[in-house]
Parts: sequence; C-alpha cells; structure tokens
Amino acid sequence: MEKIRFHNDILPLKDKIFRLALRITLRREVAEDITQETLVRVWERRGEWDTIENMEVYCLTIGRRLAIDHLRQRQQQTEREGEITDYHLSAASTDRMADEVLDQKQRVAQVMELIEQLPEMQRTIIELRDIEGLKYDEIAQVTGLNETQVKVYLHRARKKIRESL
Amino acid sequence: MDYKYIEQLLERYWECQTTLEEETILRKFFAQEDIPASLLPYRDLFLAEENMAQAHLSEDFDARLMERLAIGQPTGATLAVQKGNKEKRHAKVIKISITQQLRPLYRAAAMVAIVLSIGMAAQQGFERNEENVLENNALATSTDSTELFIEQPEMSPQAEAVLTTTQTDSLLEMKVEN
Repeated sequence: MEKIRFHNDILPLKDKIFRLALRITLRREVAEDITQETLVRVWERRGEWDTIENMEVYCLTIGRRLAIDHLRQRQQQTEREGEITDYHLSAASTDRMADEVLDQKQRVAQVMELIEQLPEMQRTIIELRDIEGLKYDEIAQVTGLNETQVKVYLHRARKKIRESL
Repeated sequence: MDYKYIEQLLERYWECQTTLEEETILRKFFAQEDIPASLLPYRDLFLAEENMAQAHLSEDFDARLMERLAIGQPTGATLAVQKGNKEKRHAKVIKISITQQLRPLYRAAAMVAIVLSIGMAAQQGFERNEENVLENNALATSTDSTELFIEQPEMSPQAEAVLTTTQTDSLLEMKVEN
C-alpha cells in the first residue's frame, strides 16, 4: 500500500524536487543527490503521510532544507580554503550581455544565467512560482516566509529580470 | 491584432498581481512564433523559464533510489527467512508421513490376526459341534488364542522393520537438507 502510494504520488515529484535543488545549489550532480536523499527521508517517514496535507509542499520543503544545508557547507569550505569562486559571475557573461547581435538562443541562455545569479531566496521563489506553478501560500510554506514576504522577493527578482531584457 | 490585454497582463505580472491562470496565458502567448516587436524582448524570459522547466533527473535515478530503499526487491534477510520456513514446512511433512505410513500397518496386522483367529475358531467350533465333541472346546479355544498370540508377534517385527527403515530414511533426508 505504501509502496503504491510512493510510486504514484511521491516519485512523480522527483523532477520538481530536482529542479528546486538545482536552482539552489546550481550543480546538477549535487541536486540529484539531494533529490535522492529527500525521497529516502520521505519514505522513512511514511508513518506520517496521513497527517500531511500537501505532499508536494512537504517534499519540496525537505528538498530545500537539504539544498540550503549543502550551500552552507560549501560556503564554509570555500571560506576555509580562501577561494574566490562563484564561477557563474564570470566576466565573460557580462561582456556577452553588451553584445547586441546575439541570437535568440544566446539571449535565452543569458536570462537563465541572470536567474542563476539572483540571491538564493529570489531564484528559489522564481523556480517555485514561474517554473513549478505553486500558489503563494504553498511557496510560503516551502520557504518558511509569509505570503507578503514571498511577493516582495518575487517582485525584486522580476524587476531585475525586466531591467535586463 | 490588439495586444492590450497581454500588455496589461504583463504589467500586472511584473507587479506580482497575476494569478497562476493569467501567468499560464502569458506563457502560452509567448510560446507562439508571431510576437509583435514591442513585446519581443519579454519573450526571452518565458523561453528561458520554459527551458529551465525541462531539467530532468538522469535515467538511472529510479533504479538507484529503489536500490537504496530496497523496495520491490527481496533482500538477503527476507530470502533467508523464506528458506527457513520452507525447511520447517518440509520437516513437518516428513513427521506426519511416518505415522501415516505406520498406522495402517499396525491396523492391518491387527485386523488380519483378528479375522484369522475368529474365522479359524468358528470353523473348528462348527466342526466339533457336528462331531459332538464338546469337551474339546476349551482346548481348541486355548489353541486359537495361542495362534492369535503367535500371529501377532509375526506381524510386529515386520512393522518394526518398516518403522526402522522409514525412520532412518527420514532422518537421513532431514540431515541432507540441513
């Protein structure tokens, strides 16, 4: 019974969890691991399933927490090693932005890069709203913010994107 | 074509005032080929998001997950339990078969002995009745009873032999299985 529920209701959420983890960590392999870890935890807590109102929000919340933990660990490691990373903020992309004769593919890729460069909370909310289509109250549950705060972050993110277009 | 509605929706989109349904309308609009020049710059955002929505896990993700969760595949532990149950069941069957095999033998031996002695006693009794030798009756009965006793031990060693071989066989069988 639990196996059937896992296969029918929970496993189909895997790509959503993956994309959220990818948006937060910006690393594919890490995002895959986080997705697996999330689903393992959800399975281990199968005794609580009946008390969960929204399984999607539940899974995404666990996934986000794990992704944030990973980001923190990575940040601490980087600080210890004294590295200057964030390879996404490369000079090359800013140069290309100035170029006016970019074809559509390149322009789309630029927007994707821009979203990746947003602060974590902003890109998380863009992911949850614009890509996964969650309601504001659901985003609030996943992020632990209230709905007004969610809209403030989303507004900032959309404003930045609009200015770049 | 009038794009005022789309322009209005877009304005509300930037202000985070659109509903999910209205955002879907915008997404569908920008997925078209024919977009007026004034709205063209915004298409990049919706195409970018469409692109980002295509990110999927590797194909072997499910297999790796199931391996870790051990759902659907019997683990080493469950297999051992199943094997143990099978052996127990088998041992039980052998036990029953010993008694089942021996019980009819005892019965048959007893039945044959009883039928023979009664039959012989009756025959002898009738013969002697005809000859009117009544005083010999007691002797005849005593002979019959001796016969009965002789016949019974005759069958018993057979039954015992069968019992011993069957027991040894089953013991051997159980040993082999263990």
